[in-house]
Amino acid sequence: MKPISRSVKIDGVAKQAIEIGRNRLLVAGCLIALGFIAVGGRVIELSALRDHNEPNVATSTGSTLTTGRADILDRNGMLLATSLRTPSLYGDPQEILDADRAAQRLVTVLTDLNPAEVAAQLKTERRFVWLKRTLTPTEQFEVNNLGIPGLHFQDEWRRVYPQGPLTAHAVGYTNVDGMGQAGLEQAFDDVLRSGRDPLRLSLDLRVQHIVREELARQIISFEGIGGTGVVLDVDSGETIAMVSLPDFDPNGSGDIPDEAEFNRASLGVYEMGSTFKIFNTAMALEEGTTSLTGGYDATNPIKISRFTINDDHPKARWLSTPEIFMYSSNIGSVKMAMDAGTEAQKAFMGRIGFLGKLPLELPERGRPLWPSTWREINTMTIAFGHGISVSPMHLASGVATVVNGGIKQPITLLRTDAPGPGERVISENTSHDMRRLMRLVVLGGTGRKSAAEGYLIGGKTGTAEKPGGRGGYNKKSLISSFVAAFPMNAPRYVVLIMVDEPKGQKHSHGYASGGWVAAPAVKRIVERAAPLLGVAAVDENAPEIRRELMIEVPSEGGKYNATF
Amino acid sequence: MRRSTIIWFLIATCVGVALFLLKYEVQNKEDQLAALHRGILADQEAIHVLEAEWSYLNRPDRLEALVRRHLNLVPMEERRLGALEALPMRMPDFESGDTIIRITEEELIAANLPPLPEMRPRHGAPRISGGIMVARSAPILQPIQEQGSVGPRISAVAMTVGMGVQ
Repeated sequence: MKPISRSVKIDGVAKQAIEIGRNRLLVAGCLIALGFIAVGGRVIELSALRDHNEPNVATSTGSTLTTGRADILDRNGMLLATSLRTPSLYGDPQEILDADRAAQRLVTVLTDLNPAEVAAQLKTERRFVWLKRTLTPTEQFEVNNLGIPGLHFQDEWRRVYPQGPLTAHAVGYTNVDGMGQAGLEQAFDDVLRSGRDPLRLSLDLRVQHIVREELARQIISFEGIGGTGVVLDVDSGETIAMVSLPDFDPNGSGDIPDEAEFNRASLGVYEMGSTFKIFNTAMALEEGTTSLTGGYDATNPIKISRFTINDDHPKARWLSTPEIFMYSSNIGSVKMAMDAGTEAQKAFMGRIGFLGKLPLELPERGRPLWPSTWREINTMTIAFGHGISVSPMHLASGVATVVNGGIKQPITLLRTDAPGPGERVISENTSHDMRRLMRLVVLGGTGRKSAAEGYLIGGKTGTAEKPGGRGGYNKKSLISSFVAAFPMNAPRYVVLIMVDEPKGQKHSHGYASGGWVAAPAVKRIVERAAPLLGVAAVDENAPEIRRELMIEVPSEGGKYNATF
Repeated sequence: MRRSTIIWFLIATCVGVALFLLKYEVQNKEDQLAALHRGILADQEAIHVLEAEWSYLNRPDRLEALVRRHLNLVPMEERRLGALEALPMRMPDFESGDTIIRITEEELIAANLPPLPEMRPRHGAPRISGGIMVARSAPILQPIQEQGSVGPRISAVAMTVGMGVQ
């Protein structure tokens, strides 16, 4: 403004006014030009400079479905758990004209609601009350048809398990707000809620179904209170099937009984009984204190303090190692364990993974129970599977280690295409001996009812008495199990069946032992599942198979082989 | 001065109109895009629901019940499985021009050929000693129309399918 005031002094009034006008116009013009330059510059920046130029491919926003929780699939891609959008009904009490009448009319459609409760809810001062979560499309249509003002729907994602109870214990379930409450839904809650990629499990739905059906058949026919069935891949440690009965429907809204929710396969720990002789014998062979040609005198029962250890099928003579295993001799097993020693036994149990929790992904994992001070008497009872409690999954994983060449592979419920190197627990030789011994049990021992022709099953029966009152054992309540692997010349899968408290039946001549209860189920499972798992039946009398599985039984002077 | 003003005015009007049209065009396209996105989402959700339903309908126990009711299939038994080696050799058909030549082991060695694989002897079948009988036959695909060769083919199919007829 200074030059203007200077010109005022020089010129007249009219000229002065023109000058002022021109200068103001100039200033305003400059400002506007500046503004235009800024806008123009921004246009150029946006259109030409930012990201170099206009992108060739449009970025799509929000065109992929997000369900809030990733799906869970089995190993072949079948859906085990998914989220579906379902309407939920809520009311706005402020909009409701006549709460009692609205409630009366609503329960004519939603018959499971209580009219008094609904009316009470609709009379509150709030603006939002849930009336019913997750309606079916028909229910939504009928509620809409009633035309009651003040009732609204809100879409919610609801977890749906198309397979129902089949994989209930492995997959688990979520609560109404979509939080994992059990099983893998709980273990992988964060991953499932953040990720869009489905979780692919190692379970095979078809095998799972077969195991569940055959297990249920045995439980019903022997009046058991429950049971569990497991199929493991011996090389990768993948769980192909894991069933625990009784089970529950994770889709159901009601409370799940504790008995059904309890996962017997991984959470329950049991004294497994004679199936532990697999590990006892493997330990003795590995330590070198016993050989396949050696043996022990099993004539007299062993007396220690107030206990007497006897045989269930007493032969009352000297028994060779294969016979001790085949006839499931407690006396022989105890002597075998005593030769190897307490320290060796404890170290072996630790190496094979029986003294700690499983590396399984489930939150429901049982901690094995074992004596804190491992005395001689413990060594004796652990030799035939009493005094140490492990979960059935532990047992199956241990058997996989023993038969697969001696490599411990951490077991998993997730599909793994490239398993890790594993950890060697026993030598290749011991593993081969154990395979032959387990085959012998099926050919001539307690597991004859599991012989599925062509699949070279080998296994070990177990019949344990459950602990009763006053520190003793209850002779009437048993845990009958059979753990097997097949085909025994090159094992691919481990199958474990365990029935809780089977009762002797007429058709089993009063027996409820592992050989009667569990072995036939294993046979049927292998016969039905092996073709699905890609295991072909072979000629059991082929010379290379006979050579592979032949074993000498010294005391009887004969040779057991695949022709038995 | 006046002419240039008119030209500028015209240009401004044209640009204004063009901008106006462009804006509406863009708005239209964006509406279309949003509609497409909504359509894709709706389709994805429909697919999602159908996948769940597919899985529900494929429950093993349901399939098993349906197979029992509508098909005469039974679980595969071990005795229905066979190996290729267990099939007997095709008998030469002399009428259609097959001939039999006998190759001795010496001839095989002389021709620098590896020894032919021997078949596992079937239940007491006599082993051919001193050489291998080779039936030189017509092309393997030819007899497919003949009545006699249909049998083994069907059983081979049954083997692959893994199911037998009750």
